[in-house]
Amino acid sequence: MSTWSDYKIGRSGRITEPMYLAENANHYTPISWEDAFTKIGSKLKSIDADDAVFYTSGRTANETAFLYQLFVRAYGTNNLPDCSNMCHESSGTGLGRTLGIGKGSVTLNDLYEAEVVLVVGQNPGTNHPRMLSALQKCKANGGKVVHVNPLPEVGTEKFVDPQSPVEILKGGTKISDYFLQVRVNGDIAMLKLLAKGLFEAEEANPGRVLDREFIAQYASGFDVYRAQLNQENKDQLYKDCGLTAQQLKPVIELLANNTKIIICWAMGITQHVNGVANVQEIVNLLLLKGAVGKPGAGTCPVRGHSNVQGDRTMGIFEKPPTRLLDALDGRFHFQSPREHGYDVVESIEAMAENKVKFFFAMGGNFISATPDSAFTGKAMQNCDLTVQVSTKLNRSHLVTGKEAIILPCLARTDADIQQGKKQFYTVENSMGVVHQSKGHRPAPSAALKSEVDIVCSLAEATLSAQDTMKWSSWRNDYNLIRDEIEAVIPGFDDYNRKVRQSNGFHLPNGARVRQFNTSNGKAQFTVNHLPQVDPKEAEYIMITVRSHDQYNTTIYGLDDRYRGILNERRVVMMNDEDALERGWKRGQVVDIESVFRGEKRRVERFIVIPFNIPRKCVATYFPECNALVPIGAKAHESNTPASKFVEVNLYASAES
Amino acid sequence: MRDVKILPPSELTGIKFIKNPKKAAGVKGVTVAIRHLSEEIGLFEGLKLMTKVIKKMALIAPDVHGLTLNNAQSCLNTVRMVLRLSPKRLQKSVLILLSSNGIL
Repeated sequence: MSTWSDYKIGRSGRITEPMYLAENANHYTPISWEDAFTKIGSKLKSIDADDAVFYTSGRTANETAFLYQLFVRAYGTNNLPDCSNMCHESSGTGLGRTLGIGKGSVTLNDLYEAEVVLVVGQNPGTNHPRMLSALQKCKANGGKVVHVNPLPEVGTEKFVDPQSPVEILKGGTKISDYFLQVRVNGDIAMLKLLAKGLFEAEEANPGRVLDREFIAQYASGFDVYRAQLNQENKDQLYKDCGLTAQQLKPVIELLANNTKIIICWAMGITQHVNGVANVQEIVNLLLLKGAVGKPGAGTCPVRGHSNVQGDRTMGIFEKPPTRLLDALDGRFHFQSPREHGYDVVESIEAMAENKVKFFFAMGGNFISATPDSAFTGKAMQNCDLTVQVSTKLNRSHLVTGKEAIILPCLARTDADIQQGKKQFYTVENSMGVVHQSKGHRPAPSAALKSEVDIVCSLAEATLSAQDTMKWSSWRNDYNLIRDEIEAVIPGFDDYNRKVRQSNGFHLPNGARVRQFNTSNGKAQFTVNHLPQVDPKEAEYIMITVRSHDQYNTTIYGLDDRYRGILNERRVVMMNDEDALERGWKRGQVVDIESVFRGEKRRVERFIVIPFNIPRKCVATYFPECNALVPIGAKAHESNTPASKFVEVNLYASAES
Repeated sequence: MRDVKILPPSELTGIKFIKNPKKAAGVKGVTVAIRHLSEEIGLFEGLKLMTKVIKKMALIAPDVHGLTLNNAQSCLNTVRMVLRLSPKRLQKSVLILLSSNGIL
């Protein structure tokens, strides 16, 4: 099966019974749930807790996530990497430092009400399609949208709301008023130019552009920030971002003349060595305008998976705050581990060094989602036992430890019935809204267990019985889990009642009300230096992107119709002139080799497609080109893999 | 060590090109959504399920459920729209089909 494409593996249907892969065996065989948990429990009891790693996918609902982190900490480790480590960890780090909360501050109503929305390093048409209707509503209310990205994306050009016959008949709504085709990693340079433009506008119209009152009352670090900005050379900034004064002028005017400003972003901002600095520079611009903590304004890191934000709220974090651990200790009467655990990159590095004996994945497709696929795969094979909780097959079931177990679980669309009573889960979206998620479809097999049941069984098989940890009761009634969450996690008062309201409820968000939980209680201006934009070791900078027919690592089809590409994923989008310079036409087959600190990684057979992308930049699909992303290329502080800045060379394939 | 391939196969699958579309979603988006949904759990089962989910969860946030629900919602609404715009002859058969599956 490992010779199959990820697309084919994913189409092989639901897993309906637990499966076991014995050491040296080449095929999985069915195993009973009891035997599976006995094997897992025995292994966990035989090793040091810090030799085990417990990964979480963003699909994991609040109830499961809470019990899972409780189990892992009761077992004795904080090795709780999650998919957030690979996407918005830079946002969490940057926002936490500057605004005191690692989440966005806006609500959907803010998006509707905004006068200006900057969509930076994000492709909502493909990755966050429901956001298009929010932008459409913003436009209908008179708002302006600026899209900043190395690639033009159809979704932000024009959107035809499929729910509206009128929209279909009239041909849709133009979303972007301005498109700034920034160079890869030119965002900080562009943001600094926008800020400089605002200062110049303020000089021309004193007191009418910057929000001096907000800056004085709510922010700190302004003078240092301004002094550093003054020293930046404009010519260098223009060169780094690849934009012209003419292109930026109307956007500066928009920002100068409006106060309700939202900046949205995604992986184009976070997956850089300087991902945290990128986020902090976004905050600088918003602070100049006082565009935080008021209607129609704020930060909007747009997340992908349905509960990636909620999992972190529930304590899925390798660097848990002391207040969470204290609350767990107080509620459940145990001593939680205080030493920080491994994040995703650290987990892989530890596996490579034979420091990890046991790996557990609560959902996801770790091998395909992570960088440096070959290195990660080999590292995974060093583990003694790997366990995956899954609904469908993926590559991570094939690249395993010496022994492997697959625990099949109910999907969130499946009805979850415990003791004859239908249960529901809760999740938190990017806007901090907690709401229900309830499956309705009959499960494909009676043998499937819910994720909550799996965690409870895992705990029972591993931990000594403790009165405070009521695994058997929690398994049967998720309301009881929510009671525990309410007792431990701030913001969940009256959880079981509030989450039954039709639209759920908003979690508290300090930045939304200008209460900044930072060291001095104020929002922080920061100084962020210009990052590398030119390749040093190779000829091109590669970014990895998603196609329209995929959702994270799941490939639903082989088309990317918004980019005009059908039935193929092994493509490399390349600037027309760069292709011409190489004498290549559309269809040229090439091999791609990344270079990082002298190390080389290579993938073969990709089709060149001349594309509207800045010179010396190329784009390929994730996860096929994760193999080129070096494990050592990661964001400062957040450790997010730098998948949007990979130095590569292209070579005509031997067969072409 | 098992002989497993860590990287996906490098076979090309037969690329085709279309003219870059000028707008997102719309009717074409709906047909693609219908195809995906059909492949995942079957068209009518999918529509039925998603109708129930959408009733409870729709429009809370842009990214709550990712691609599948979004497509399903678009799909459902377009089926309704098509129904409204269909000639009477087609409308009747579509209506019977959808009603019998609890979609409308």
